[in-house]
Amino acid sequence: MYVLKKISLCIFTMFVISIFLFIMLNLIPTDPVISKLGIERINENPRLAQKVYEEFELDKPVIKRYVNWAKKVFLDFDFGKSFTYDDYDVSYLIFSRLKYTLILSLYSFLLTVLLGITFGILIAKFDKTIIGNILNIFTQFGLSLPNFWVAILLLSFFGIKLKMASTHVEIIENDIIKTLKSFTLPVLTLVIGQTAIVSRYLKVALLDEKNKYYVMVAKSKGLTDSELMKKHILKNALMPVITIMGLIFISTLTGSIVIENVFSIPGIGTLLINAIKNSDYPLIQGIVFYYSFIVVFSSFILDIMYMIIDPRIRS
Amino acid sequence: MKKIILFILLCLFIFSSCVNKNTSNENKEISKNSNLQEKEFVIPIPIDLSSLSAGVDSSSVTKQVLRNINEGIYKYNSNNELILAVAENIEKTDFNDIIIYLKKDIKFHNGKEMLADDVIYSFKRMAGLNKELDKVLENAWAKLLNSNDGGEESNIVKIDDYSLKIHLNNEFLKESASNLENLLADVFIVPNNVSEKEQSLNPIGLGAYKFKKRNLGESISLERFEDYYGEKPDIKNVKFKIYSDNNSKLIAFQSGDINYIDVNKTNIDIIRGLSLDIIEKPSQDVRQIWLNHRIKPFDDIRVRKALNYAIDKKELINIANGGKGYILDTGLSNYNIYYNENLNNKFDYNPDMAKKLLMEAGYENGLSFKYSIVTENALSVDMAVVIKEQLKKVGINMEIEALTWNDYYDRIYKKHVFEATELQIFAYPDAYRMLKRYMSNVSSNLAGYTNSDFDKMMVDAGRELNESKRKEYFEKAQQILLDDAISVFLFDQSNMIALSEGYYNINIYPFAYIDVSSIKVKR
Repeated sequence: MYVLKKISLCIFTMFVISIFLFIMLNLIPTDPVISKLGIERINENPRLAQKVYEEFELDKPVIKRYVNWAKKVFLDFDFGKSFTYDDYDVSYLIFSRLKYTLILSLYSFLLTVLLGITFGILIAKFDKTIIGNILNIFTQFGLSLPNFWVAILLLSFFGIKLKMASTHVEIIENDIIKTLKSFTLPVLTLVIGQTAIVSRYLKVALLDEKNKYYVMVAKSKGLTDSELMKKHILKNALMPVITIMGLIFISTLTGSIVIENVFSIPGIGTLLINAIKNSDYPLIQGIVFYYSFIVVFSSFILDIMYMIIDPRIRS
Repeated sequence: MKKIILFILLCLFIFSSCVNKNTSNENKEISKNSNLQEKEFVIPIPIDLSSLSAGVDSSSVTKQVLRNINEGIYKYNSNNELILAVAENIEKTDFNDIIIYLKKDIKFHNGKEMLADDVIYSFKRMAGLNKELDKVLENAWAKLLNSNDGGEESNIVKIDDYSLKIHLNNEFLKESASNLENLLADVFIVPNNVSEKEQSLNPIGLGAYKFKKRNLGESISLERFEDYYGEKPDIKNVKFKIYSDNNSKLIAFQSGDINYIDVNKTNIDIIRGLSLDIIEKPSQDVRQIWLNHRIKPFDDIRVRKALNYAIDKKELINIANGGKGYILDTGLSNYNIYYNENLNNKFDYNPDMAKKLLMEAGYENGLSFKYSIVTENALSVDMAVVIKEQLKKVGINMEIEALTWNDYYDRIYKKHVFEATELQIFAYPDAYRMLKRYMSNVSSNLAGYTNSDFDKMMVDAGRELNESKRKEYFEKAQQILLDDAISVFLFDQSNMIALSEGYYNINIYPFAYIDVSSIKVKR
């Protein structure tokens, strides 16, 4: 019952988002045909402009356009054709870019989880010692450095000075190692900031748990520090950190626009930026809808996870 | 604890192994041993192409790339002169008819020989007569092939496999007679047996490079066409890679990941620091201040002249564009073949004369006006600041209004609601196309300028097929523009390009085209 309720809420949310999305885009006072054809061409060839208006139903009322669009989206998962890319559907464009965003997200998320948890445990363990303070300073740096600046710094240092890493990413068919190598710098840029966030959250949560009565009881029963950490403290402290990691994953999966732009990664973020520049409404609608779906779906998964971990939520 | 340390070391090891330690050695090896001709030459482009199909997308980036794949009846040489490309000869049989004789044994990228049928198909395609495409790509061709006086498609007929006849109907001749060569150069010849869908995914043309691969949103790769009828280019493989961020583009150029970069005010010092030659040529674009003649104070020629005298173009170029640029006196670049080299009464910087003219016009206490610019154009913004300061010296208060392109287009370009505005007119070799925007009945005449002498001169130039007479008309038209002080013609900001080490030369044209075939490899 709880799951069904959540699913219906998700569908309703997506429906409301679709209405808002369509109305808001249509409020923007720009003419997408100008972006597509250019002024000179419209002046010289008004027939061509008229044809584009008809092709994309821009000459029809907004409500009629919404109904046609929503029908296609919810029934056939068809977001229509892009204004900019004459020969491709919006769905195809999104999926063709998704592989870059997925590699970037998964690769950086995996490293963030590994490094974030490790550093979090270390900082908590060495709290109020010199090592702890040094690690704290590092995480502080990670939090405060803007990632576009880190990206430029890494590109200049590893790309130009040392010539150790490639300044662009590419997906090479049948060669996962080379592909991952080309993603090194953007991933590193993301990991620096994300690791700092995760480790600091984990540190606070761990220190909080350490001072709880059940830990003292367990300790008095003779459990060692490492046993306590493994069996009790870490498990409980991870709960709030999972939420943060979930949010980090969502943000990279919906496209790290700045990172994609700096490293010229043809992911979802750059696709959205170009769609906005070109007033490509079908594409903007498709991408924002994709973003919304990722957020709504991830929240749904997190809710289910909480429900499994803490069955009290169900009631 | 040990496990944690071991784990961190493992992570660092994985990460460091992913960093390409061998790149620097590989690069050295390439530069030492491998032939630069074989190496992929990488050119950055700011956005992806909308369509790969010839003539379908008119954006400048698309043209920059696709001109390497496609060719027409005419093309431009390194001196920006029109020369015959795939045609052997063009004969004008009478005022209305031309015969195009095609070169033999010219092959398309798919191996098919180019015949008259392909050329006719390509012209009809431009005119919107290809049912599959169903779009008019060039209005002039639509007029030629759909007009009432010539009998529809019969205006273009095949004589034999290597020659065809075009009947230029009167509607076409009225506007486009002098432009015929340019129109013939703009129609890319495509094979008639390849569908539009196929053309859009795997374009087939006659150019020096053939399409190899496209990674949507990332890059477009071309390779040298070994059966090309003309001179074979030095570079074998070329990749147009999308770099939307200028900083990353510069870093990629510095690291050797790309081999070509546009040089501008922001990166010129860094490029100079790399000890590379910067290739510079006029862009032939016209940057000018349009003054609205429909309203006060610009309906008064004395005010317009005062503005022309008040602006120090040399200083403007030095401050706003890092000293790079060519001063303009009229609506045509000094490097256009129709430029009038004997223009009289040019406006040299003279603030005293400006003050005197303003006084004569009744503005002894100065005047104020609004100056609209496109906010996305960084050079326009820099220029506006300099111009504002220069005009202040003669008592003119200029208020800068920065608009987004869409607002600008709607209010200024379409409805002509403005006082003064700066707009860059992109170059094209055809003088008629560059100057017709000042004719009274043309919608792109922002100034609202009307002069029957100028209109007549342009109509005569448009109809005139004799080259020297046509030049004479264009020269007179330019002098009229100058005499009427129609605008403040500022400067041509010039094109600057740097190539990475090992490469030299590139032809720069007054239109969108990165001519890879002209790039040479040092031996």
